[in-house]
Amino acid sequence: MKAQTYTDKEIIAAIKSGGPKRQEAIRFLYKDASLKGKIIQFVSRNSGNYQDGEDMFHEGIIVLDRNIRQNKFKEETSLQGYLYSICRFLWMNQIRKQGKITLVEDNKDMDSTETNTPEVVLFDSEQKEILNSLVNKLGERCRKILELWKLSYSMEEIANELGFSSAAMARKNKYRCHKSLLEILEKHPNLVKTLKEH
Amino acid sequence: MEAKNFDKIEAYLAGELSAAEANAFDAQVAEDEALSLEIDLHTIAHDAIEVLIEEDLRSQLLALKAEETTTSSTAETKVVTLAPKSTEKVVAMQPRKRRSLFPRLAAAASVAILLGFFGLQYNATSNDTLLDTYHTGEDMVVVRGGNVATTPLAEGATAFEAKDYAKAIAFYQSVPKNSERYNEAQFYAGNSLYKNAQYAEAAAQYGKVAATGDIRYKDKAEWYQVLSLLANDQLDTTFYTLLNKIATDANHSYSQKAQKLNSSLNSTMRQLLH
Repeated sequence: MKAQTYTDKEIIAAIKSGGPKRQEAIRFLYKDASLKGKIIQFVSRNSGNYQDGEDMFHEGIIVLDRNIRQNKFKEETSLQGYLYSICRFLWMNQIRKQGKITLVEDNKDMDSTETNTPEVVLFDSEQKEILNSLVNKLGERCRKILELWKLSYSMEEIANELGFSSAAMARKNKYRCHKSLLEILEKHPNLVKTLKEH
Repeated sequence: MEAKNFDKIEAYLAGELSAAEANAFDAQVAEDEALSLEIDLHTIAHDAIEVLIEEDLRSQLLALKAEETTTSSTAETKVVTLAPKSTEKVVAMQPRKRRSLFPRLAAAASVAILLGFFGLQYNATSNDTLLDTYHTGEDMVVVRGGNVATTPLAEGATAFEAKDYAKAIAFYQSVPKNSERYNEAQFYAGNSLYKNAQYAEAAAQYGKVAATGDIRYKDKAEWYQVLSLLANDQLDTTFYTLLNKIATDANHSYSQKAQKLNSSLNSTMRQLLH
């Protein structure tokens, strides 16, 4: 079977629509060997190694996915250039923390606008630890409903995916789970305070 | 928490209110501390769900990476299997001999397949393989995509990342009880003990962490206590009581994994082979 190819617009639409289309678009991005190679090359030339480059590629895709879903990608640059700039930013951020600040070079075929600093919001390890512990107080099914809902699945799709009898039942359960999560947060004011202070 | 605010806050956060509505709501929030707190909680809830999505996507990317690795090793296997083909050609030049060998080869192959099948089943149901399946070690990563030197318990984290588990254990266990990081240090001491193959000590350590009731670590500690006991081949009453407790608690983060592990342990094939 011939692998599907995507334009930038198609990738963005697929990620925003959620579901299997998002998965396929992410797979397509992941399989872009040329882009992955450029990122690994950049990281390797700047105090990192192959594994670091691969890690940055993964983390970059995670940020790209979120920024597209949250309408933070403005479509002024190519998606490939944007992903490169995110990975570059993530790696620079990391080596800056390690005190290694020498920037060797950017890939020559990347436009200068594509190496501008993108909007990258990162949760630090403490935030992640707390957020994880709070959301994990929900049952697995509730976590899945909320995850699918946030990924823009329709209530019909959530019903199909999780075996609810109807979209209305899916909606009812989503509301219940969302309320439960808020109640969990209310019961842990100290953790909420710590998160707000970040 | 008032239900009437729920939809309004969600619409506000999603940017679905008109400019006038949003301004009016902003003014209302400025006057109402309780409403402001509700918005904070909704925002944090969204962040928490984002962390779930992030973790899920990270696993998918690792799966894609593993897929690539498998594909490349399959390609290598294909190259290797080319060799017997050329041998086959030689054999084909002696048809009689080849035919007479066939029943014996077939019988040998059947035995090999059966031995292979039960061998695989034996391995698939062994404690080690179950541990590989249920203990991905992902939660043991001290810092993801970051720098351990900047974490609050940096000395232990650095030793852990460097696989100097003895040093990590010593550091984490030296964190005083009155430190706000005490429970965190105790949990990581458990991880370090596990990684150092001190499974009995790790189980005891996770038990201590679970007993603190700290929601950041309780579920993980209970699950890792089960896995530590499994790694120690200690499938006793403590093990099954805890496994059953996790499996039957629908709100436990590891409930489904515990159910699957329980099924694997009770599988007919495992009962037959172990």
